[in-house]
Amino acid sequence: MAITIEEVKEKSLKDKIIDYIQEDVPDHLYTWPYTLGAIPLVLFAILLITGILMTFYYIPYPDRAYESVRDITYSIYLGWFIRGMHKLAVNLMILSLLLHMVRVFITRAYKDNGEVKWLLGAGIFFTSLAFGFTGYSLVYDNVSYWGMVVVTNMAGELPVVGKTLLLLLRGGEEVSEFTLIRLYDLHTKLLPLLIIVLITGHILAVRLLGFAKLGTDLKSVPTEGMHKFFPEHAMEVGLISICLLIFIVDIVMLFPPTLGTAANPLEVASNVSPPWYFSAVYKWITIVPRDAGLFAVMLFIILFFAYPYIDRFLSKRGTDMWRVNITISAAAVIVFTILTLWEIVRV
Amino acid sequence: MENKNLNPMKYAIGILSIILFLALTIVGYTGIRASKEEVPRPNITQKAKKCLDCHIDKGLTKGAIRDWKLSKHSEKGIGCNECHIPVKGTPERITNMATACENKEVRREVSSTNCKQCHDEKVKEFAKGKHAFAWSALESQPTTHMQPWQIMAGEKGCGGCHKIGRDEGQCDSCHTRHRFSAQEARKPEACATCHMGFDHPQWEMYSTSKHGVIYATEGDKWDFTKKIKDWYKEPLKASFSTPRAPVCVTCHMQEGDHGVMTSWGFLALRLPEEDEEWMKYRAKIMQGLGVKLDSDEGKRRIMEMVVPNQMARLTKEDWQKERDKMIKVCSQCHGESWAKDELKKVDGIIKEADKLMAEAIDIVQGLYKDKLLPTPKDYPPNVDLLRYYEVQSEIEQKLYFMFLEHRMRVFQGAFHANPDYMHWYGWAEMKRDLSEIREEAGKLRKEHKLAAR
Amino acid sequence: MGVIHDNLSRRKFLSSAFMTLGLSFGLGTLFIRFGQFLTPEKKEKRIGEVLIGNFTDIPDGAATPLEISGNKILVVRSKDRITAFSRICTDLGCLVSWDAAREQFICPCHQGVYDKNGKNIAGPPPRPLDRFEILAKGENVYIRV
Repeated sequence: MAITIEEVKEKSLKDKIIDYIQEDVPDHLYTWPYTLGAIPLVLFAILLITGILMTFYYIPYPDRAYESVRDITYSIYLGWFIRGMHKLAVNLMILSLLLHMVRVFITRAYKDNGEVKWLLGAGIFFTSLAFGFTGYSLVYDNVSYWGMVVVTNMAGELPVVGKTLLLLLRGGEEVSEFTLIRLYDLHTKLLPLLIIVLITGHILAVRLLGFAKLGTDLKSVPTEGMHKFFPEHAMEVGLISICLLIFIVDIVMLFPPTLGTAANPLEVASNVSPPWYFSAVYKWITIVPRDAGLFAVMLFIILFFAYPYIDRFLSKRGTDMWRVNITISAAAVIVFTILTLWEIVRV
Repeated sequence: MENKNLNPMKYAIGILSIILFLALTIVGYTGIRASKEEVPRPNITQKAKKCLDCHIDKGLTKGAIRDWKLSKHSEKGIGCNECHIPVKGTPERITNMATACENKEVRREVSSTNCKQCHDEKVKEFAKGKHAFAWSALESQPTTHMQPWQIMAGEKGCGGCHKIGRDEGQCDSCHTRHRFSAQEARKPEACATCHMGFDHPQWEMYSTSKHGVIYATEGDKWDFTKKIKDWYKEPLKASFSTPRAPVCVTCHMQEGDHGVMTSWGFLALRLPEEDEEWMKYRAKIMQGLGVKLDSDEGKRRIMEMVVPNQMARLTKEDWQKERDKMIKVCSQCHGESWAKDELKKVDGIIKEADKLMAEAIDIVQGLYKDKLLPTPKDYPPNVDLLRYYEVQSEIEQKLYFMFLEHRMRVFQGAFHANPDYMHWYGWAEMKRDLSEIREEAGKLRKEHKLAAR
Repeated sequence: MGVIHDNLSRRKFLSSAFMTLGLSFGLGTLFIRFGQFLTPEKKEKRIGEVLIGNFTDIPDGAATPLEISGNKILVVRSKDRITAFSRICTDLGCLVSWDAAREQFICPCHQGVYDKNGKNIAGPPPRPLDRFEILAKGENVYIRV
């Protein structure tokens, strides 16, 4: 066969780069459940940018913190917009991460030697929760302040490491300006570094280890089509990103961010409550005797990280993990929803 | 692998981006206002829930429930039962009341003994002040029970304001039920319902005085959520939210003290008196009020009315203590010596007003002595200003108006910095009263002479 | 066989161009908004006339330093003429001081020198010192900031 011009011509730099990152991607990634991976990534980018923008005005010292957030929200031009996007993106990111976790769990995407993907992903999830807590505290309104007190107290309850952890987080025995600046450091420097490393690792892991095959072990694996990452899949992601942006911009305009009353170390606010993503755990700890509750949470976290290995172990012994996973995720979603709603409605 | 046709997708991205652009354009013109006050989240306890469920079911007291949800009480989990189930020490009037509630412990009316459970300090302060004596003062007056019960015990008239002292004190008089907003109570309007009108138009006088006008024009910016003792905590800090002029509580509830008291009181009488001339006038006025030692009724009035209800300061120390407190308040804004001088001026004008009053009382008392005024059976044969309007002749009505309407305005107007009220509604009227009383007395005497012939 | 004007690359170009145009509008505006957020507006604060003092209060031959709502000023009087100079050096913004012995304004940062009329005579300053308007109402001297 004759050699074509294309094969002989030297490829341009752009093409070389594209070739390098190019990957054939299974067509099932076009379905809605599988968009839940790219969505948190786009949201994270939004959070990163809006967060950096706000550091140009935010002052991490007790009274000034609240004032600067108030200025951002009400005085500075478009401050409400940047802060609103930041807040909405946090909520959407954690929501989409939870849904992503459910999807991954149901499809057992950690199998076929993909455990590392799961571990990194779990790391990303808990880091995101840490982001949520630290960021919420930076506003330094009354709910922030008392939230800081309660959560650092809870950290202090942990066995062995508790006291040290409490002192580390608070920068002293009590919640003070040192606490604020430590949480600020965590939120703007250490945690971003950590999560960027984890996200890069997670994406690399998926890229290098490939996607887990669809279909249960019992059914025959259907051969599915593939499509190129660039430009086909990249455009899909681009399309979804623009839609997400439009959604966020519109929602922020309709429901601009609010601000609670300033922190009052002398009086607990009556409406102190954690953000919704912590409500379920919060409710759990209030209804179950404290030590048992905390122990259960720690156990849950350990099992959560180790699950792919448990899966592997049980699969080898013949358990139908597909059924198990669907049952567990259904139960988890129901329990989480009930606990969350119970805490939020609080009758 | 065929290259998928990406053109539709590219157009889609393009169009959506343009939509994003439009949305962002609108963003540029949007601004947001500070959010409205957030309704507090009520904490409904089990006990409160019982009350609420039934009341909501039966459609009762919807206003009370709405108000309560806005209150700090509801935020802190203080519900219906903490107040409406009387605790030990509640006056019998309440514990003896009947109730329509299924829970027979519940009473519609609440006494401050319940409030004391949490607001111990404020109830104790209140008990030391004039508001606490309002009801007993009313009851101890001689003509109270001559009027229809609806006016007094029924709280439609005099009782409606004097109830503040009923049943150990009614805390909802100023921070009204069921919201119990301290912010409401700090504003002068809270006092206006009772401290207005015929014999004590403090609201009218204050609101047209310079202090009141400053409140009227700037008061909406003042921060009434702050405790009174914190208003001038940084005395030289300039802020639009610090009151620039006094409101009622500034002077009369210094530092939030609920024991309202003044040096001169409602009657502008005091003992002892160093100024001998003045004492003569005062003695006449006291005689006119029937407060004297040489009759049973007089003794009763002293022992059961004036003293227990603290109607006047009866020692020099008591009077000076209240005067000093007032000077301290004025000095929050004014110079101390100026404040002293101004208050002394008013003291002086009280003396002048007392002079007129004493002369008028003398004239009418003379008519009594000479039996020139009709005196029915139960009538004491002397001037009794505490009969108020239960008098038979026009001249006695004039005397009572002179005392209760016009003399009041002379010193109340002066103290509340209202020159017009002090003069035209006070002093000028007293002068007119006196000249009319003189003329009327003269006429009566002439008639009597002619009839005698 | 006719010429078929179904040019794949032209269709691709059109769609790409449209997409790029749209994206530049959409994302461009987004980044413009970010930029606007970061750049605060400059507020021009004109106060008006401020009283410095009586004519006799201002010492002759000396330069009196003043600060009025952030403006750092040197008021120089020679006999009957009063001039108010801004202390901001026209080179790069350091504050100049008055050297009484030499009757000159000296800037310590790059050794800029101005004479007693504010004219730049040595060093990097490109132009004379800025002035503030002085008014006299009777015996009283006002400066306009």
